[in-house]
Amino acid sequence: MAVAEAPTNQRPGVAGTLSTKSTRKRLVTSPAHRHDARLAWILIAPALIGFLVFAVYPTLRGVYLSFTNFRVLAPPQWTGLANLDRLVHDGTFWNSLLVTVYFVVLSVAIGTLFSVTTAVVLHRLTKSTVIRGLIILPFLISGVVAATVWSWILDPQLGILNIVLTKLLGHPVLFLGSTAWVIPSVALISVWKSMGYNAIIIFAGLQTIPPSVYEAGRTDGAGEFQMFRRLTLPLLRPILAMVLILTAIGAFQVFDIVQVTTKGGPINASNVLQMYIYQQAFGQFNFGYAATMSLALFVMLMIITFLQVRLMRAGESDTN
Amino acid sequence: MSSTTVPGAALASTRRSRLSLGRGVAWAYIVGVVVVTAFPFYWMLRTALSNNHALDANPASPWPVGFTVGPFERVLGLASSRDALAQGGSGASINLFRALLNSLIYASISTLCIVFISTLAAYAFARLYWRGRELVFSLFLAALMVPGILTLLPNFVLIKDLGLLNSFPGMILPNALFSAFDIFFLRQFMLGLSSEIEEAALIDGAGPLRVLFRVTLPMTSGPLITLSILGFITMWNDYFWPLLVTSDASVQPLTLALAVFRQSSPQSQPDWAGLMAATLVAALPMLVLFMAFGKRIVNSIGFTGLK
Amino acid sequence: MKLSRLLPAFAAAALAVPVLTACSSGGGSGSGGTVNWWTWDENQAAAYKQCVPAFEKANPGITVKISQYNVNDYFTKLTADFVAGNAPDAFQNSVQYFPTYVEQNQMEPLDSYAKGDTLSRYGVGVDVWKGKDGKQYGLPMDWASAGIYYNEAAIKAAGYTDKDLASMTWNLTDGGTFQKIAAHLTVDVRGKRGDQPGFDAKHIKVYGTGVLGAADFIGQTSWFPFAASTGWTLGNTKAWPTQFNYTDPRFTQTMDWVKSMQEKGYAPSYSQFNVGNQTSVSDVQQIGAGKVAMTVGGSWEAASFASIQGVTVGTAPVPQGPIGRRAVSNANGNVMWAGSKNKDATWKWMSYQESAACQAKAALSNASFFPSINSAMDQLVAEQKTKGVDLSVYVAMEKDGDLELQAPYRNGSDMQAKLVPLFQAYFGGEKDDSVWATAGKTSKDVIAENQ
Repeated sequence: MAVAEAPTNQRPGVAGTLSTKSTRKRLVTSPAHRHDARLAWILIAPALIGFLVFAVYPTLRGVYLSFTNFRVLAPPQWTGLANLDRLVHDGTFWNSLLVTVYFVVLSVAIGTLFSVTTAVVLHRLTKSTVIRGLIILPFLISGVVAATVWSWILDPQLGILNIVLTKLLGHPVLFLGSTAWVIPSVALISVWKSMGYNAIIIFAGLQTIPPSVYEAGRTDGAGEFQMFRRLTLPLLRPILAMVLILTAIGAFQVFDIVQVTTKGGPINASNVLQMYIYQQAFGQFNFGYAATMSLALFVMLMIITFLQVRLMRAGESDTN
Repeated sequence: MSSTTVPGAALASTRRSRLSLGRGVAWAYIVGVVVVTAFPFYWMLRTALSNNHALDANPASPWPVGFTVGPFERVLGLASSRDALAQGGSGASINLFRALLNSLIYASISTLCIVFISTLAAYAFARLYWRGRELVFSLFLAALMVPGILTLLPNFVLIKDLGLLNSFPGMILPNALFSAFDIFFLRQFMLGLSSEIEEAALIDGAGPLRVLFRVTLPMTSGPLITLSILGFITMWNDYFWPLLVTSDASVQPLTLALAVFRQSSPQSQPDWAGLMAATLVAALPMLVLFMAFGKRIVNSIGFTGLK
Repeated sequence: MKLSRLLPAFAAAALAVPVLTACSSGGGSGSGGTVNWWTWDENQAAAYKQCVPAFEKANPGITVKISQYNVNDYFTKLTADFVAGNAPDAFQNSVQYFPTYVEQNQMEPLDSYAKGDTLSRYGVGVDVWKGKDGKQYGLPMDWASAGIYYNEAAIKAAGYTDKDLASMTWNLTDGGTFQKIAAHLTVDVRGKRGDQPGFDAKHIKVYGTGVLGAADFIGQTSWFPFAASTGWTLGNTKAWPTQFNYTDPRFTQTMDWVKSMQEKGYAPSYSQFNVGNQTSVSDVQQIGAGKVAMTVGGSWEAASFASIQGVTVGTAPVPQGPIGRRAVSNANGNVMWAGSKNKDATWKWMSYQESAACQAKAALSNASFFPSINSAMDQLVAEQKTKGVDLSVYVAMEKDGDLELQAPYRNGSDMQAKLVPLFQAYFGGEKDDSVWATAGKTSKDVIAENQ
């Protein structure tokens, strides 16, 4: 019957680290798993249908369209590598890519810094659900709403933050209106929205670390900071890696915050990739070229995720 | 200050003086985070209770300027278009109740379907043994990285070809069957569960399905709640897909209905008060949900990481 | 294993649940007697709803459904619905977009419907809705232009009268009385006026004039009235230009003057009231908050200016330049979708909408637009006068032939995406005059795109 191939690298001696694999061996031989294959296909059938119909088919269609001149209202015309050629020579595309990478780096770095700090401080300080409830609030509202509120607060003339800053500095800061500030500001809005949620996830991870680990550390005379670096961080690594990957994938596709706050300006300084793709598709009817750019984004996301997973696997081995 | 029961309390007291400074800084940090997090919500409320004209003249007042509930009346469809304009608001009118109901239908059905279907699939990936399992799983995972905009138009044309435009199935179906994230999340959790109880049940002669529903599911309730809440929030806030697919107030969700308060032309003045009131109304059900189940939500969110 | 036999049924049920619970009612697109009509302006949506009862009564069997999407979503939604085949039967359109739609075969020519005197009843805008092929694609719905709005109290305090504002002049050499007045109206944080010694151009409390260097490649409510009053025109031809005249010295010198106004502190820089690519503080708010004493504003803002609490706002025509007064006006159009399934009923509704009766009724209901039919416009002007809103400035400019109608050009959306960053770079100080050569070439390239 459908017996899955048993992992070949099994070493029964180290059952502790390979527990899932050794149970697998035992289960495979169990008669209870004889009908697994049929049942498995039935169980994944609905998801598989969704996957094929709403993910695979549109992706393949998108790949096809990326090699065509597709103006939506007329059938696509095959143009081979013309779109790719255009992409290579499109200064706006490369600018958008740079802007996007800048945004991703900033939002992932600042976001991680704040969420880890918040989680650790909360964990050492209080178990109050009220505080955790408060910091997760921004996660409940949509990106559009968050961006609307912040563009109102950051407004150079009527925004409360700039009114305060004008009193202190003598002039407003053009958070969303200057080429230097716009991406940091958009990144901070995105951090504001997701920081609390990430902190709660990390907090939950911290709770799974047995207190005895810290007691041992303390009796060894380790300070708070040392314990954080030597104990907390390594133990948190799998969760951190997960949060990082998801934040990065999300950040690469940032759209609604930019669409509401700046629409890509000033001087294309916040024209992130997704914004540019959207303009090309729905503004200029260049759906073929838009598909080419989306495909390029897809390839980049694959590479980045692959690299991150590699890094994380490396991390996993030194936690066990 | 709640958990000082364990040994080490004696140790702590000798370090109190050094720690109290650290604790002070830590508390200051937390207070700062809470203030930064919560302030925009207060500012929304303050703006939503202001007269839109008066706002321009007094933008820095910490309290509502020219206090009025007019913006909420506009959002709830209670104000006449003439009153709204007199307050510097938008003359738009919406059917709030219908939109609220549509949002509820859209978000809850999508969430229920996707969580249920993902649970079935996750069980197959975590507990059953079959040829091609790893391959299918990696393919599913790759879908996590497909940019939404690549599939947007093909999906839209597909829904149109299925004749499902401007209907709930058209809105729901693409979101209700497949979520790489949900399957991944649940599989990770199930892999982390001890399989001993399940094995015992299997040996007792229970079928795998019975095991799934009687043994595995109850143990997975935490992550299921987390995923349901995450899914519900995402669907509730969804804007772009419903915008494309629907064209009738009978199926349009709240996010779309409230969009009339956004600028009607690039040069015109936004109805900031109305916009903020609309924003609050849109967020209100989530806030209520949160107040009711806050504790469970906060405690249920967790992650097992990548295994 | 009874349960496993149940499973296929279960999975099927899981699939069917969303379909069954929610399915059934598809959308009613253009079937029978329903005419769908769209606008991006919620106030015009409300205004035209006033016309529906009379129309439906006169045309039994036809029902009209008006929908509104905010301007950020409007054209996206239209595109999607063209693709889906259920776009509205008729809709409000902008000159910027209609040539693209004509090229995509989405616009129905109206020549076979508009018989007799239909087109002759409009005072403005018929010609801009003619396609490159000479066919009529839209009925003019409205018109709009620009004028000067000013804070009455501020000009009185500076010693000016309404007459001074109404007779402002402008030229390239010294900026005329417009610049003098703007300088005197400007006040720095220590209370010094812009033309007084010791004036601090870096710390301004009240700007004499609103934003002149707008990142808008037509400059309707900012620099256009100045540039055009030198005799400069945007397009190189009157209709269907192949390039914009951004390298004309009259244009570049005007832009230099605009920049000098920013440097002198008389006018705010673009980024002060605009965030990214959009207005964050409208000129109504700028006047309302006392940040600006006078500003070039849109005619569509007249009612908003009049309703600012605590500030009385006066209106004046744009300044008199070397060749006279010039302002750009635009006319939105009511167009029919080529894929409409009941074109005759749609035409009945469109032509009724753009009749004197309906235009007057709709415009008077909330003053959300200027009718394109003169008699309706006159009624609106009279009615607004009783409410303290003075529209006579616009009527006078229109009658005197001071308004230049914005002619259509190809690929308007791409034009905007490519030109706006160049204007931002120039007014933001990142680029010097060399940017105009790029802008001129860009306009030429964009118009030639996808031929």
